[in-house]
Amino acid sequence: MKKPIISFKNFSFKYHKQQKETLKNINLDIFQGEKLLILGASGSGKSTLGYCINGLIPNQYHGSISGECLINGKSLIKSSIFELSKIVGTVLQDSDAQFVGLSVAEDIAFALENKNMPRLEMKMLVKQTAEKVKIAEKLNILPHSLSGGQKQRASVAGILHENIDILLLDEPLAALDPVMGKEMIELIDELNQVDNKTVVIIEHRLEDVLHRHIDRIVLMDKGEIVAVKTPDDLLSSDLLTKYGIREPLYLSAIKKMLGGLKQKNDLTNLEKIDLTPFKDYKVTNLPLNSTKNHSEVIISLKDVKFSYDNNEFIDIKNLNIRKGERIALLGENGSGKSTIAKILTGIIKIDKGEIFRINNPETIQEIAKVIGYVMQNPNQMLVSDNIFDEVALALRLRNYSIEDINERVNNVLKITGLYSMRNWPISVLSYGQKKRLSVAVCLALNPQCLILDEPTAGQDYRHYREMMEFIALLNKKYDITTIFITHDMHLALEYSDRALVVKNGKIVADKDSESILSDEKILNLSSLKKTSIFDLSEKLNLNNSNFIKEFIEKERRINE
Amino acid sequence: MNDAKFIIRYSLGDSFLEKLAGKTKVLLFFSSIILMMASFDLRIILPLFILNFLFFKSVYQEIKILKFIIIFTLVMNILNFILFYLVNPTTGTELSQTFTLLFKFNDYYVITYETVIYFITRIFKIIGTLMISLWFILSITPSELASGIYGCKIPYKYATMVSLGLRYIPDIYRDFNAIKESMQMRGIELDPKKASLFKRIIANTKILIPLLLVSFERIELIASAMDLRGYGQLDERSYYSDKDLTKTDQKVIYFAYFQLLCAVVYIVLNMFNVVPKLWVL
Repeated sequence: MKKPIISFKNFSFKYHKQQKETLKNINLDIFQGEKLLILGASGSGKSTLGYCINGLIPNQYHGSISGECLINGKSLIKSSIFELSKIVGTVLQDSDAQFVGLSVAEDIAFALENKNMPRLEMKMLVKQTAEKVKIAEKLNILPHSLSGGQKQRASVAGILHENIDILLLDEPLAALDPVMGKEMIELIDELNQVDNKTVVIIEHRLEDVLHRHIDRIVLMDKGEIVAVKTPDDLLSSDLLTKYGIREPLYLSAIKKMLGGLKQKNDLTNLEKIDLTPFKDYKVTNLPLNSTKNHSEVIISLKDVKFSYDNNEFIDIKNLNIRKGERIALLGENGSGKSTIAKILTGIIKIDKGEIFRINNPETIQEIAKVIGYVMQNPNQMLVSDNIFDEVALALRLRNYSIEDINERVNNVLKITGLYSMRNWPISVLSYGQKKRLSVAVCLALNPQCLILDEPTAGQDYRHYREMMEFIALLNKKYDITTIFITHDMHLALEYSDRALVVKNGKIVADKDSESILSDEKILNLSSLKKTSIFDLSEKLNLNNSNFIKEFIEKERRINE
Repeated sequence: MNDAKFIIRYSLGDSFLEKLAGKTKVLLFFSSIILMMASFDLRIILPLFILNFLFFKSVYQEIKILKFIIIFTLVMNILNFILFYLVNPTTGTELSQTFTLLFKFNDYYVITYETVIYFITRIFKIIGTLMISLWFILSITPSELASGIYGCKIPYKYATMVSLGLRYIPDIYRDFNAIKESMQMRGIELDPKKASLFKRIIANTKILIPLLLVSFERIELIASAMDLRGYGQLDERSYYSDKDLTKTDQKVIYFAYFQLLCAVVYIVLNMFNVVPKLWVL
């Protein structure tokens, strides 16, 4: 039997500011060289457990600890964060904030600088580790010109040379597009396999993590460990659905449509699943969705050009957006998705071309009455003291009468399900509630079109569902055109009818979502990837479109 | 793309100044500034001004804010001179104890040769100080600055404060812009043509509160990230961006020490009234 390198015994933790314990009675041994996934919905305590491994608890976040936690044989309470940093290397979720250096090289060197390592030795080590994570050619690049994936790579390199035993990754995939996420998982796997590092990944995106082998999965809920199982055992149980984790799509389809699993092993890879029992499955030919007649063009762009610093960037020949459409705006990081959104909302003034918006608004303030823009980070949108004032702000600034304001705000709060909280201060809201409020803020002006920048980033499955169902409802009931900027391919499939793929500032594809998301050529071009539901359907020789529709329908019904 | 808007440099070219080590730049900067501030003698100020003007020219870039700073300083100082002259038209004469009349408005408002020299000295001194500060800012990256400050035997915590502040300015600027944009969509008018100054100030404070909140969140994260990588465990620290001092660096450092020496000598002589309060030919 190997000896555990991390060991929790009857461990509990309570933050000073909170009344209840965030971690309850944790018993867990993590062994040398193991690759472990800590899985759980938001608020399950998985990040807190991570803080106990790298020493942020109790050094940075204070609270009361009971029970025992040994890291490399030494009690957590007695270790300083510096001692632990020599054993545990941490990569945080926010790749931007943790990038303290002014270039890739400096960021990688940061830990070495702190050890007062002579410069020559340091330069050599930096070069070595940079080569290991394949970022050596970018050593002198500034943080602002790096993609999320490159920043994450630099962060990984920054902890590698410490000769650490344990690699702790806190939601490493959160800001990455599908292809970058895949590469990140492969890199982590290599470090585990080749360098024999113990790896602890904290994530809720299970399918992406399972792209490579995982030894054990720890499932957490409400501060407790509810299961420690091998991936196969966990995937064949019904625990995932029970605790709000999205199952891999192909498994979900097998379980819900094809009559359940017939094997108990090798479930982590679609390639290894024996599909012969399902060969006879026939998709019911669903009646074509009574596609709404989108006739009225509410926004249109013609020969629009825009450049930052004289480098031509955005170039859109022709784009029409109609009332009631559901559009997904796809593309890799830095392709120009957000810039296009800013052009539509009038934040960015274009250099050349024509933009038509219904009712011909001119200023940003007027455009907001037609197009609402929900930013990715709700904290950048919320400025008032309580919910009612927040929603009312835009109306007050436009000098609406008090009766009008009351009526409109209450109406919007009812639609968004925030009415009962209307007097709550903003600061007590959860991230998901803030997100919802930021949509309400836009709805107050009664726009015909909503643009949502990464509406589900960093949210677990339950909140993802809630958010998207809510947006879908807005579209259905009020005929609001919705445009999502997203990396989540299944989200695009499920909640949009039309997809635009952006590459280097140009729209390279504009078709219905299904045909785009099954077109490998386009997907490869823009760092996107097919979802496993496509692969499954293809392997069964089924009609992709019908199979996916049926799957989405089934899932929706179960969720309701 | 935000790079161009800022005066802070994040990458350097290869002019003489830019290629120096951080420590050299910091020493040269401090010695020049101290000498310039200490003296009131055109024989020192004029050569110093010319040298630093050349330095400034070698790293000058077309940046709007740069032009604005220079013009603003000039205008404010000329205004200052006029007021100064109106209050006391014979400052130069009082300092040098000599009186050479050049022009006479009336019995009180006269222009003396000494006063002209006084104002010339002053303007070169002020513009020279500005040139020194600007070439310094334009020729150094935040990390060089940090390693330079540390190289001058100042504890590295101060160096980190400076470099980290500069590292995150573009990020905070981006947050500020995002919040500003979202507020504009809500209906806040920030266009100077449409809203009064008072209204714009109120509007900007609305942006400030979420900006502070977002920034505090970020600071907490940065602090954690730094702790996790062992920041602050030792009293000493090395810098990746540090450079070995070249021969040129050595020479420039000697020159900087020479400037410091000059400043000290000048100050001491000045205390014993050996040098004139204002040098006139």
